[in-house]
Amino acid sequence: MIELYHWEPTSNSGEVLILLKEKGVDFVGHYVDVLKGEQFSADFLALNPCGQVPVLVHDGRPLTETGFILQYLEEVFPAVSLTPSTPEGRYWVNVWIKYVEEYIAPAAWKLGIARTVADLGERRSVIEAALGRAPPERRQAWAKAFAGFDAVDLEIARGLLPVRLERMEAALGASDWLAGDHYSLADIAVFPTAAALPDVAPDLVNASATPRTWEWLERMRARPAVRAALAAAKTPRPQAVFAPGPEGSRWG
Amino acid sequence: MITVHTWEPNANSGKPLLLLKEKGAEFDYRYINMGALEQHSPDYVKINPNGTVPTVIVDGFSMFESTPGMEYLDEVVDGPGLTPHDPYLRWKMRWWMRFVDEYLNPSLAMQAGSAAGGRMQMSEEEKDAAVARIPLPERARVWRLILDRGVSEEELAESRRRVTSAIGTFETALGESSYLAGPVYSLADLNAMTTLHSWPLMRDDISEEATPNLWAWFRRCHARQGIKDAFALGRFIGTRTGEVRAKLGLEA
Repeated sequence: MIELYHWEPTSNSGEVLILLKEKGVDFVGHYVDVLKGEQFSADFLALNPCGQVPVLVHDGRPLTETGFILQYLEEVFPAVSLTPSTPEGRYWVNVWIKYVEEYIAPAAWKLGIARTVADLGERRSVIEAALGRAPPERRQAWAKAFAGFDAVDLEIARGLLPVRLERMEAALGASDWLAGDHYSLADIAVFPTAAALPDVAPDLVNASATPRTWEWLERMRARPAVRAALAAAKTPRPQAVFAPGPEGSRWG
Repeated sequence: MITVHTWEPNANSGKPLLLLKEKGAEFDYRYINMGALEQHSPDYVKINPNGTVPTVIVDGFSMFESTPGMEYLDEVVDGPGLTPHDPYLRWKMRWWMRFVDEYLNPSLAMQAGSAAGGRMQMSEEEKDAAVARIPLPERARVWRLILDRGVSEEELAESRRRVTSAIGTFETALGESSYLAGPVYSLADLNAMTTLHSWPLMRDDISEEATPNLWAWFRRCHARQGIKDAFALGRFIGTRTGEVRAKLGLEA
């Protein structure tokens, strides 16, 4: 049996929700409201001591780290294959998974979280209370989010994007998809986080600055599996709400 | 035909070297002296526009990302396989590689950078010089912001806490299996060894008494011919790992 503990069909949770829809794999979903601190409940921390979604539970074993959950599901449910047929394509899947974690996701949440925090209202004190149980890494990340990032922090976060956006444009100039000729795990890994960029970095990601990425976002949104995953959202614009994510690469 | 442009068998630079020696593969090793900033030289930037090491080129296919590059090399190069067959253990292998790359290494780098003479102690002129040769202007600009911001005492203390916490994570896991991703040596161990190799010599908190599981793992890893051959390639790391082997009671 497959169970998935997830939040909105955006960022990390969105990746796994889309892949499960693409593969037509039945699963039991558990919605974890990270803006109510539910990821820091004792039960959830027993599943993932890091206090982060998504967590996939397969045959009783919890798996974390979104990109690697995708690869696991791909290996366990190979019938609908989303793995490139060449080793070079598979290299690019791994690279895009890394780019999301080290560059795109850290930029997106740091640029976007101020608005989410401003809209929290009473939920802020609920999260603050839950943070008492959270591991130090999550406490620090939320403390930064509540304190707000200054202009230099935001500039460093934005600085993570341009080189990756150039690579996206280059990849999508050679093919409709990120890792070779076909739709693959790479597209699924990048899409839910990249879909937030027009909101949080509108000057960097738009129809004229990044035309191929723009069209690719449209292609992705047109896929039935992506539509089905997004249709399950509980917030009106899930790509515009954020929780603290990874810290971001300090090199390269 | 495999060409590896890289520095010492250490950290990211060491990943292709340890892997190819484990495979017993032939390859052309081009030494890039990071001490002399050769990774930013015009000749090297023609090979790798990011100005980072390692660069691995296999029959004309260039790879600049070291961990995805290891999975590629394991797949295409003859020799013993270094990836578990079981999908759950493969997931575990990738989990560990991210843990080393994203959790442990940035904390270690922060400490190294803050030590006397490290990059966080630089004068304005030294900072200018350090970023002047970074080939991607966008990254150079962000690097200057990071250097100016520096590292706080609080961040340093947190990086020390994370390393201590990571040692506990290794010690616990290696009590459950001989290697990080199960009973067999894999890319996870190889990746970790590129960073951890000299801990038995350099860290007081690593010893046969304090961390018996980790100590036994170091003995198993340092006893491998592939590991020995890879460290012997270095101009200076090899001397130190020789001392490590002596301390572990292994033959020189």
